[in-house]
Amino acid sequence: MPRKSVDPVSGRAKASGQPASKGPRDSRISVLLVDDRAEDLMVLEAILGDLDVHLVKASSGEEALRCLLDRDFSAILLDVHLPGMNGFETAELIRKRERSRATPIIFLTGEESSPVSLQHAYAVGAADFIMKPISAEAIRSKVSVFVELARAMREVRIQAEQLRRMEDRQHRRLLEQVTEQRNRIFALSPDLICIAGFDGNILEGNPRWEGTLGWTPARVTGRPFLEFVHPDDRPSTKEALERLKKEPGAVSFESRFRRAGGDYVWLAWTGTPYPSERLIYAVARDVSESKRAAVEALRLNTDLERRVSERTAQLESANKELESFSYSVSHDLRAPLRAIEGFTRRLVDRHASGLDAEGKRLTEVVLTNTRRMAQLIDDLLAFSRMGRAELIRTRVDMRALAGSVSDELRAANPGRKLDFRIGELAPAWGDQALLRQVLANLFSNAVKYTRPRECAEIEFSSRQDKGETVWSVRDNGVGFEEAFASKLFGVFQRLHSSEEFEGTGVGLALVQRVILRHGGRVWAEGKTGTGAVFHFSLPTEGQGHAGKPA
Amino acid sequence: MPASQPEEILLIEDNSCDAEMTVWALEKNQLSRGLHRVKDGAEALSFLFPQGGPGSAGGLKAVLLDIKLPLVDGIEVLKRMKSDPELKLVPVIILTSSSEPKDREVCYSLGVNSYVVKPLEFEEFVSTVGLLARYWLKVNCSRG
Repeated sequence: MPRKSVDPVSGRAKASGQPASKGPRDSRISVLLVDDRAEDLMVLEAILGDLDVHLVKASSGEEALRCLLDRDFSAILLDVHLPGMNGFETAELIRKRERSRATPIIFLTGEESSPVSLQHAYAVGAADFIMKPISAEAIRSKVSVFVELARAMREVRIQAEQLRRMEDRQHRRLLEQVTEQRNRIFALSPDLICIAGFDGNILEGNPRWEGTLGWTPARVTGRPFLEFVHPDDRPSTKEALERLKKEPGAVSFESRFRRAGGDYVWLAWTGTPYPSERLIYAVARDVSESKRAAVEALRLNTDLERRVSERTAQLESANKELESFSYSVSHDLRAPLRAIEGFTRRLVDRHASGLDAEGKRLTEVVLTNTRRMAQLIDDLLAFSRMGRAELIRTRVDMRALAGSVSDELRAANPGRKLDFRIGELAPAWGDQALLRQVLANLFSNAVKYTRPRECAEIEFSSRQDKGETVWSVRDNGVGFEEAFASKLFGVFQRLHSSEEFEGTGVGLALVQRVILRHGGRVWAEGKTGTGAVFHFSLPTEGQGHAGKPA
Repeated sequence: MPASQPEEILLIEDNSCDAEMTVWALEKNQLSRGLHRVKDGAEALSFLFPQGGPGSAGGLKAVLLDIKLPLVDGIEVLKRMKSDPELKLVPVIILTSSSEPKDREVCYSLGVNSYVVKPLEFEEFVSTVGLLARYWLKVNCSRG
């Protein structure tokens, strides 16, 4: 910044062209010489001439006092014997003046120094005492001490002044710099900045106020902070402001702020109090977008939770319905069926004479279908119960289980030639009773569909796969068409007529349900005429999932 | 078993077809003469507890009880009988269509003597009823 050129030494504007080393005449050290005798003054002037000081001569006390009005002296050489006002009286007057109170006075006297006059001299503030005749060496050395002292003091004073001015300038510069930086940050901040008083009024806002809210900083200055807050958010905002005044440290709060257009934006504020200045500095960011997102997320979440609980309730009620359905099936459906059977049987038993051969055949058809219907009901109930029963997992010896199931099947089919090939088998981790049902269904399926073969070959094997064990039941039966492989496991799904192969179509569905509940998979391979392979996998022990109702 | 000594059997069954078939089954086993049939649980209770007083077994040797009954169900009838000092000595045979394990557990926990799921085939039903009735009548006879 442009400044006036100022002499750093004198502090006055540079005007004189004199060299700085000598300085202006007036700025030289001055020494006052007071003696009524002109020759003595000349002698003193000669002795002190090379001290580079400004010598002022006075021939009386009165003249000396006049000289003191003009300027300050670094030392005064004062003759004691002066006409009129003597040296001591002059010294007393000099001392009385504020400006010259500390000026060193050296008395000159021709008298033998009497203790009385010495005492007098020191009492009026003599710095020293010099006897006449004057010794040039003594005078010079004594005066030069005071001159040097004065020079040194002046130097110190000048330097101190210089330093003060430099510091002032630096401070000013620093202050300007800091103010400028603060203003830049204030202006450039993408966040709203607000300085408010403890009274709740806004003292200053940055330009961002206009960008975000449409209010110019001038418009908000002096307005209560709460004036811009949404009425619903005022209590919480007020509470936050109160907290700011009481607690040290930052306080964060969110509130809706009114824009110039009348709508509101969500601002997230962080305020910090400065109690000594009774000021609050606060910074805010527009969080409307994330707020909207959060509200939306909450709404979606609530909606989802509601839908999940609705769905759960639906499932629970469906489960309940299924249970009562199972119960009804077991009770209500069986009763009429039993009546059909019983009464038809009674008809055959007691009234056979009234029935011809066709009549008897018809009653047989009724009885056959009744039995079939009963089987369907039983299988369906078993299937339904399977989904509800709790899994009790243990380590199951599959080889022993397969052996026992195949023994039973051999006993139940004495006319058949059944070749069960059961090798080394991995143990399973599952519910023994349910896995037994799985093997029973798969094995009896294999026995059933190998009926046209002279010798049924049924092979049961296992292999390890990633994290699971796969067991396979292979037969040399009639097989099935590969395209229908996925249909095999549906309830009541059959690929053969019941005349060809008996069954209700529940067996494989039950197998699938058990395996799925164990966290495993089932699948089948086959070709018409070349047999079928049924695979099921179970998670290896320790990797099993909790059993879920299928 | 001589036919001249009719046994007192109480049949509690709401389904008339089932009741009729039970009668036939008992007839086939020559056990139907002392049979008394009621149609629901309330009727059964007034037969077993005359005038709402303590239970009276009379000459009763066995009770054939259905679970699902109108008004008062079979479980309640069973409960009342087994908590009566006199009636609890009368064998109760549940004859039901329900193969629900839960029903079976409840009945046995209440002290039922037999729990039988009615077989679908009449011939099997006849032999089952015959076996049960004869067994329990005999047990009661041997007790005195």
